[in-house]
Amino acid sequence: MLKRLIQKDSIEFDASTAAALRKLAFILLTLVLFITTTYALPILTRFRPWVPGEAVPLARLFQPYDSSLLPAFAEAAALAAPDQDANRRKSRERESKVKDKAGSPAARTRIAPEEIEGLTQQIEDPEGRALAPFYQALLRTAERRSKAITRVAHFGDSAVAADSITVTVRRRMQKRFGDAGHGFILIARGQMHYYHMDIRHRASDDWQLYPIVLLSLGTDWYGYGGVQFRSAPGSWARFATSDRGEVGGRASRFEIFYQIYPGGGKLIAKLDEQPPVAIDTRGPQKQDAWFTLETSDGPHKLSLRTDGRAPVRLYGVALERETPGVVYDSLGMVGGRAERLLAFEREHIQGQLDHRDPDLLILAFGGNEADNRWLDIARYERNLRKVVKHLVVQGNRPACLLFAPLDQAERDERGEIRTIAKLPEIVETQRRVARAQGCAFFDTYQAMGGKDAMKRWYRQRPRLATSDFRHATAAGYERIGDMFYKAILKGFADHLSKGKAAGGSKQPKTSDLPNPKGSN
Amino acid sequence: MLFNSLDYLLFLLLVVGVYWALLRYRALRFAIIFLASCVFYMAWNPAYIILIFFSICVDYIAGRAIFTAGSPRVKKNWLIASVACNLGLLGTFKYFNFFCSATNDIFSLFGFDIPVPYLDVLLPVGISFYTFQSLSYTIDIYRGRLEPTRNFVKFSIFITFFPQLVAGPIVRAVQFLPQLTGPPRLNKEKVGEGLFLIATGLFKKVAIADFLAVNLVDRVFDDPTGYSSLEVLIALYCYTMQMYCDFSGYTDVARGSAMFFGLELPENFNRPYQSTNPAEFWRRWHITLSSWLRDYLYYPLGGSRVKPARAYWNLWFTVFIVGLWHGASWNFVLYGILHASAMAAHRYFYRRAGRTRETVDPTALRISKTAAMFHFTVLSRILFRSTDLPNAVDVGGQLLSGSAFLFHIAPSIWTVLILSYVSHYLPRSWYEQSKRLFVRSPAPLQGIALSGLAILLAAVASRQVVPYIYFQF
Repeated sequence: MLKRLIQKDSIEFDASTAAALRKLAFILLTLVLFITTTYALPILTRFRPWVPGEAVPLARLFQPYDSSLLPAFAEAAALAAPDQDANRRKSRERESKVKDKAGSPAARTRIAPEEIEGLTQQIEDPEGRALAPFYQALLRTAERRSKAITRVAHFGDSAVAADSITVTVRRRMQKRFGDAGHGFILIARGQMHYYHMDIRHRASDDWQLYPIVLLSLGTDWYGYGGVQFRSAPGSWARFATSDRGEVGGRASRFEIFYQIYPGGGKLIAKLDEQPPVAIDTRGPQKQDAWFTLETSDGPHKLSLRTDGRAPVRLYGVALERETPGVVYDSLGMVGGRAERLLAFEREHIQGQLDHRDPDLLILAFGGNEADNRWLDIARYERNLRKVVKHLVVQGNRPACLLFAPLDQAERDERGEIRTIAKLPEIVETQRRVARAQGCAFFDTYQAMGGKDAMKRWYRQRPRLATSDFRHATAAGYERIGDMFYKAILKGFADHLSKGKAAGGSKQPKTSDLPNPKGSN
Repeated sequence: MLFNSLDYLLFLLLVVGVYWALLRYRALRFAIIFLASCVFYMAWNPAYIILIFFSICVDYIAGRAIFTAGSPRVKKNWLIASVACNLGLLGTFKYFNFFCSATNDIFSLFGFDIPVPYLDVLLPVGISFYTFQSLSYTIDIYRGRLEPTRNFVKFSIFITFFPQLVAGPIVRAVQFLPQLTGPPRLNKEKVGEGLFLIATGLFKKVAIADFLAVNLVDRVFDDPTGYSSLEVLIALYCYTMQMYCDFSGYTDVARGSAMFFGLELPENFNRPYQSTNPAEFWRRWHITLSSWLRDYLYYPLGGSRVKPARAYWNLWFTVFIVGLWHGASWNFVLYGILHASAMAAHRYFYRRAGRTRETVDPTALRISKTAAMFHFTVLSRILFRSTDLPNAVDVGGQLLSGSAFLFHIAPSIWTVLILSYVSHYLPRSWYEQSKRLFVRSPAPLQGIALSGLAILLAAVASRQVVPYIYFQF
């Protein structure tokens, strides 16, 4: 067989075939030259056929979802691997110490100093009220009260879309307070650099995506995650609990977020090997709807498939459990800018948030805005206020927090890596808006080291920032997630401490906690 | 793997490169094409490659058995086995659920609600294409028009050749297999022609079909009540052009890609909207399907060489099957009935008027006939595009509502629509001339032209994935 395969024929290239192949090669060379110029000349950026961070062409068609991989920063992660391993070991040792102390419900409401060791930046909440409802919910969860689930909705740009920062915060919070499920995930990722860890997710590539960041539908109904999905005949999506790691391995409830509308088709939902359920999305008028499939607590998989040619409009799926714990919705939008959230039709997004009922809403934008040299800061501030009002209406419900962008840098004319001039202004604006709107504020920019932090993060070995000076590496994002998690714990400890001073019963021992910059 | 993706471009270049590098290794060369075709198909759903293997094995064995069988009865039995297996696959995966629900629909009209089985399977991409292609092989052997190939891989390439695997054109074995016999040959003209076809195919798909779909057609069919009658009509014009550009664009890329392997695929379209009557339309639209059904269904039924009533039935039934081939739903049943009846009516009046093929109409009459046929096509497309019958009724109702505002038609839609129709009605010689001009240009100029096209397409490309319409058939 092999012999037959490699048996040579007496065929030679005839002159015309050889000339034709030379011509083809020459034409392709011209095309390659053109493609190269799109990478060399910034003005041609939009014509790049592939952008670093996207999955590798061809390989992506067969790539099974790997929850341990951050594809965008795989190279940097590999660079960082040896030290990361050491860091992880240290981190695990620290966590195991904490776990020993925080195992019982009583201990869960007490923040041990080791838990916030290395705290660099606190959450700014001068009045101490902005996050009170969130901390109250967290306290109930920590006390293991029945069905006490604390939900966080973390909206953001590309730093969130790949679950880069949120994965660390979610894992830490779920390990400490309890894993109440993975939370919300979009139906498909299309061409977006959108990934979620601690869940297995695949979808056909024929879903039509209408992301709010592109204002694809004008002001309309984009769903909780900011993307409306419309099916083609036979479109499918699958979601399964994670088969590795300490969190995300169990679920007892799958909730499908979808839209009913006059032309709606049928959606077939199949949970594990149970008989499929048909969901009719046709209705006399457009309205949001949710369909819940309940099952026993454990590892499960949900398959969705459209039936017939009528398209269904979906928003996403949420995986939850009945057990007390934290659900952390990572709601990233590639290329997201805060003001794009104004394209959520108001009643629709309020309905989505009311239904999801998060205890804390985080807005993590600003990095993409920094690219705009002509950004009108006054207008930005006005719009940001509008966005906060758009999403947070009922007084202090949900609690809100503005999460400042990472340092964004570029090379100046001398080749030095410098913070983009607009960035500090954006951070300050966010701080002002947070105060004015009764939200808390986390200064990621300062947490990274302030001015020119990206340069230092980039030069660090292993690298903590990527060569576009806009994003962190996997190790960098993990560090930011760690800083934010510790800031939450510190805020929680302070909240409990105030509760005690006011006659509350829970008293964390905070006397020996560090008091870093940015404290109240 | 969509043709208008970076993945396909890289895939094609990789396979073409390896193919020509292995020029002297015939078996290895064939193996590479076959493997590449499998990879191409498996990028959609790896599991369903088994169905193609099944089809290949059945028809390879049946083909040889028919050829070597001693008696006509044995030959016939093998042919029946091949037809049953292929149509069985198609019936199971494409039509089973529809027939069950249709049965239920009919019974429910009389007040009975019978429980019907439901098969929880996806429609395998391209199944309607490759089953027909595979069938032509065994039928042609049975008719003595073709000798079976001994080479299993060669036969597998005929069924799975990736440029035409999922949406045609439907190639006959007599056209394709002989091309694999000799050493592959290429020349500068074929390279130029291949590139020209790929470029025009991508332009049709990305700049016209997807643009019209995303910016008007999908919106109107999603919620027709939000648009005026005039806007719905414009959307139908847009959809008519979208469908042509989508499908013919796919065929162009498929034919262009095949040329790089030294292979020729048949043409599938010949400016169908220039047709003056239904018969001409089906000779110009999806030519390989129409001719397949003509040769393997209409003629065996007796064609027109039977009694008039039977001849009309043969024609009606064949065109009805063309309609039903496109999909398993009541829409396509009605679509088939509509076109089949139009075809039968056309034949009746054609004969009654004593016309022959040589009859030439005056220009004015020809233009009005073309306009009438075009609008018949446009209106029948409501059934084709609607997701189901209620949606078709909504679109039709809105079309007849009588409102005439044009708020939703952006200037860019007008531009694309008008330019695309103008180019469709230009003489074919203009297209041939521009192709010749490109083919004869020096390589650097061709490269620059393609780069320019890439810029244009990147600028107008929709950010959404818009799958080819015919992938669902």
